[in-house]
Amino acid sequence: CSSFQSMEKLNIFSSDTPRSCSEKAGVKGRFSIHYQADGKEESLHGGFDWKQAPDYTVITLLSPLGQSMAKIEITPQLTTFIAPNKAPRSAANAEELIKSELGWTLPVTGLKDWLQGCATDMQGKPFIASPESKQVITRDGWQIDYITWIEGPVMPLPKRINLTKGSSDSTDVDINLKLVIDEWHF
Amino acid sequence: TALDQLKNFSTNARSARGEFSQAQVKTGEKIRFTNTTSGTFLFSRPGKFIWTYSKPYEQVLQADGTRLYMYDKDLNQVTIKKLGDALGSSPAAILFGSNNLEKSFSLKNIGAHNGYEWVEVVPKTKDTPFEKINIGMKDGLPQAMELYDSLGQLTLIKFTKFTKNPPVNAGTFRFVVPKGADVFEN
Repeated sequence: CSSFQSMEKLNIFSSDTPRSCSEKAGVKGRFSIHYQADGKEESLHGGFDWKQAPDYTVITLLSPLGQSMAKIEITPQLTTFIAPNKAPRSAANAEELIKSELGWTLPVTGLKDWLQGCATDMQGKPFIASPESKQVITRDGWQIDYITWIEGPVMPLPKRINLTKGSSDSTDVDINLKLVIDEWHF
Repeated sequence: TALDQLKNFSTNARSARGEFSQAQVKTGEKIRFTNTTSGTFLFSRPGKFIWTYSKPYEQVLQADGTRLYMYDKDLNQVTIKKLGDALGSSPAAILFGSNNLEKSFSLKNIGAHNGYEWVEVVPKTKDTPFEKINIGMKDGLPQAMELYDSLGQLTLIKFTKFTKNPPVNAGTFRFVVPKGADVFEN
């Protein structure tokens, strides 16, 4: 599909209507994650290639040099985790499977909306991020900070996003995920 | 033959410097060049190198002989790993590691294409994301690399301005943490 510059028209009508996050999206970027696994501090750095659609989402995690470290395929019924030199593993719950395979929780279900700036806050109210409203704590306890933005064809799109599980002041932040988005495809 | 050139290069190239461009290609589908990146490299055997991406984002992979440093400017993040397990059978190990290639790789001439003579390099250990790496040799120097990983991702690297044995002072490879960057050490 087209690259960021020549994106097809979004189905968002006018720029002042609040952002509506699209179910179909392609996102490419880089991530750095810091987490605690059985008492030990671990960190990982790499790239990601994210393609989401209502019935099929595929996420590829890449090493800094561009090699696939893992490929995660998600359908409403089943999630499959594929890694080099290992048999594919499948399970119904995506987050649990990813946690058992990678050792850290990638909130894939939430990210389908969070990447574009939509979320449900602690009180269960819909939250829509913007350059003026950059932070939310989601219902399941993720604090999301939309730090920088880029000009989108219709409305600004997130560029740098930080996600931390648990409140930022607790020392035992078990996950700190930093994302930077290089390419959007709609 | 290409294999003689590679072995020669491994023994008599104490250090080298140059530029590279890197493209990701999805094998299987029609060949489609996506997110090409480019930058510079410098290495000094054994185990010291600086692999710098400058376009379209700034990222540095640096090894000082004992540790591997990964710095991403947008993420403002430095991740540090012990070099041993990181270098392993990565492309860096082939070009910049210790010069005893046969120990960790099986090597085979596979003839010429795209104007170079090629060696197929297959890691002997299984714990690597690579299925195989082809190195294109010409005039005794590596000119290109094809990195096949086991999940259908192909990375093409092209070298230019390859200078063998430039003067390199030891301090060059000491990594300095950019001011204000977060540091995660595994």
